[in-house]
Order: sequence, then C-alpha cells, then structure tokens
Amino acid sequence: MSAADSNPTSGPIVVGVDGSTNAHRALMVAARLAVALDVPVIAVHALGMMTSIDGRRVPAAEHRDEIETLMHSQWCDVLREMLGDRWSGELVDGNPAVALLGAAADHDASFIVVGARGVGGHPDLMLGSTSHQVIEHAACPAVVVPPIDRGSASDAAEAVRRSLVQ
Amino acid sequence: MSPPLLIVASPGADEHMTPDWHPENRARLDAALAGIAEAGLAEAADWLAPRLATPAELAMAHDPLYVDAIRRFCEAGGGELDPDTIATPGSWDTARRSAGAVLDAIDALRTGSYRFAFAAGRPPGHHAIRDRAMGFCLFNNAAVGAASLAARGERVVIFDWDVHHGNGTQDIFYDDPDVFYISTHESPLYPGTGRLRETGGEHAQRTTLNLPFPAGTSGDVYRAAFDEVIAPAISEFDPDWLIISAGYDGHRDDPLAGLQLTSADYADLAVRAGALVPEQRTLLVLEGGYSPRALTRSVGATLAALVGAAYRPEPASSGEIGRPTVVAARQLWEFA
Repeated sequence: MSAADSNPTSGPIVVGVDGSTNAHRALMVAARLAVALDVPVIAVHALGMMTSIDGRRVPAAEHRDEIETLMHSQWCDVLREMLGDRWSGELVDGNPAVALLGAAADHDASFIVVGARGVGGHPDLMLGSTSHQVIEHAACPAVVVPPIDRGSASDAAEAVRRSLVQ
Repeated sequence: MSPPLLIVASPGADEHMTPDWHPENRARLDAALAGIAEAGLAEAADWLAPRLATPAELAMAHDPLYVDAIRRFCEAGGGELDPDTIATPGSWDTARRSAGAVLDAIDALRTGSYRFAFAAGRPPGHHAIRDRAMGFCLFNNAAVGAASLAARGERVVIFDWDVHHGNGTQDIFYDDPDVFYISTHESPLYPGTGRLRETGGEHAQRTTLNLPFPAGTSGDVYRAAFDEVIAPAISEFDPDWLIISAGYDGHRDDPLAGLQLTSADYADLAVRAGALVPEQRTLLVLEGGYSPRALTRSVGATLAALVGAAYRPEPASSGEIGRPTVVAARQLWEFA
C-alpha cells in the first residue's frame, strides 16, 4: 500500500508549470490546496524540443539553464509567496502529461493540479490535451483549472448540450 | 539497369506549413535533398514521387481512431497538437506522403535492382506513438514501413541515429520479436526516454537496444558503440531488412542538441550498418536535423559512402566523451 492509499492527503501536490497564464492559475490553486492540507508543492516543467521564453520559441536544450532559472525565480513566485520554502521545482524532459504523472508517482502525490490549456494544446479536441491525459491516467485525484477566458458555467453547459445534439 | 540509389521524395508537394519560428520546416527537405547534388550523386540516383499512405496502411503502426482524428484535425484547420507539434490543413496529405515514401521505397527495393533507398519526407516520425503526435511527428513513417515488413514475416532492424530517442518507434515495437529497435541518442534530452536497461518486452527480449550518450559525444565513440555492441546485436538478430531512422541533429552544428558528430561519422555508421544486412535491403528514412548546412553535408556524405562515391566534406570526429555508455552496454548485453 502506498502512502497515498493510507492517507490520501499526506503527499505533496504536483503542479504543471510552463510560464503561461493558465499555469499561473494552476499554481495558485495548488498553493491554496497545499496551505489547506499542510503539504508541500512540487512544480514540474516538461521540456519539449522547443520552449517559450518571453513569447519567443527557442530550442529547449540550448536554454535549459535559463528555463530552470525562470521556473525558480519567476514562474513560481506565487509558491514562494504563499508557501515559503515548502515547494520545489523539477525540470523533466518529455511529454507534459508523462512528466506530471511520473512526478506524482515518484512522490506519492496527494493531488495533481494542471491548467486546462497551457502554451500548446487545442481546446476542441482531445488531441494534445495534457489535462485530459492526466485525468485519464492519474492514480491520485487530479484538479483541472480552467482558463480565465472560459465562459460561465451556463455557457459551458449550453456548449456541451449543443455538441450532444449535433 | 537501375542506378544504385533510389530517392523517394516530393518536395514540391510539401504542404506541412509550420510557422517561421519552427525548426522543422519546408527548408529542411530542400537542404537534405541538396546533399545529393552536392555529393555528385545526381547520376547515381533515380527519383520517385511518393504516393499517399492509406489510412489502413497508417493503421499498421497507429490506432485507426488516431489516424482519423489527425485527418479531421487537419481538415478543421489544424493547430498546435502540443507545444512542439503543429498540423496545418496540408499536413494530412504531406504526412501520408512521408509514410508513403517509406512504403514505396520498400516496394522498389524488393522488386527493382536498387541497392539503397532514401525516403525523404517530412514531418519526421520517430516520436509519434500509436495514438499520439509529439516531437514534431504526426505518423511514425519508419514504423509504418517496418510493420508492413513484419506483417509479411520479415525481420527488421531499425537503427535510429537521430539525436533524440525514438520513443514512438520503441513503444510501437517494444513487445514485437520481429522488429529490433536500436537507438543512439543524447541523454538527458527530449523525450526523456531510451534507457540502457530497456531491452524489449516480455515476448521480445533483446529486441530493443538503447545507447544514451552525454552531450559532447563524438564519432569515435559512436564507431566503437557500433563495432562493439550494435554490430554483434544485429548479427545475433539476423535481420532481413535494415531501416535507418536517419536524423542528422546529432551533427555538431545542430541547434537543438549537443552531440559533436560530423557528416563523416554518419557516413561511417551507414557503411557499417549496410554491411550487416542482405543486398538491396537497406532503406534510410529522414528524421530530424535542423541545421540546413549540416543536413546537406550529412545526407550527401551518408549516401555517397553507401554507393562508394568520394564526397566527404568533413573529417570524422573524435573526443572519447561517452565511452562509459559503450562499456555499460557491452556488459549488459554480454558482448565480451
């Protein structure tokens, strides 16, 4: 039995970060959860072949140190403000969903928190959706944080209703 | 009598329109094919425009639902599939043509008198898994070809010298005893897979061979890895076919990685690998490579070496970094 099985809220919270606005919202949710549960946060950034720095797309391998610095000094500001030193950052090569699920497994996470849409992905298809893959495969509870520009709950309900009757 | 080399490519039909910032762009294919003229191989090669692989052919290596999802995604205008991977309306046909080039090359080698074939398409393929695009790749072109051969009862070695581990190809064939996946790659680097101890699934032990090398590794260590580990492993497997997943992003000038290979190193590897399979059964499939000049020289040097031409624009490299990987692989695979 894993630690998560014996006490589902004892492990850290794993959260995906990529410097995007949505990821920032996910960090805030993760930090609030961490305070409420009195657990640390592990912020995970998956390095692709390319990455975004200040809106520029650049080769990830060439900018690895810069990304690590950004993750610790800027992207995760909200964790430092809300949790002090009760957080850490991990840079992982590969697919974002695999990185999050792997970190959650390695650390017996109590929750995974992920933004509904980061730098990549497509809103209308399952293709490319990190959050969908995390929900599908996570062994612990997963929290998906919607983007700020998503409409109201009633708008969303109407959109789903339309998609079902088409 | 055919010339020794068949080039299967159709750069004029390339409609996979990645944006300007993207390193996997249309200029890559032009740069790769320029190597044939630069190496003086125009007379040594026939050219064939590839057909479109059918959805059923793609489904030899992919989930049919995924194949159809890509079609619909492209028809709907495309977009970003992940932060690295982009599809546009023209990507559906272009990606099918990239896989079709591999199938055409196999057919031509089987029925013609060509000694070698080069399937030069884009997007590349080796990161694409059964049901997902990633790492610039939509369909796994080499895997589609290997699956078509395995379905006919033939044994295939895929030697993937792209600087990135071909996670998709490994995943597709991990438990298939008829396809031997061999990868030399930089580690740590995207996609974070390809560990030495991954050697095949329950029903396919010793049919995956990973050689993860640190940044800075050069050609002397790659040649040692081939002679001391890869060659005996291929001989043990006794293949009918060799598919080289020929990515050239391990070149020292490539912007996406940190190996120190030169075009001459790729030439040396190709000659060594080609000598281990029957005549007319060696096929190269273009994967990565993001420095246009390095791509031109490396493709030219590789193909020239295979057909015995003199083009060798750079000397082989050496440096000894990465040697511990070879030692560890020899021990794990029990090659004295």
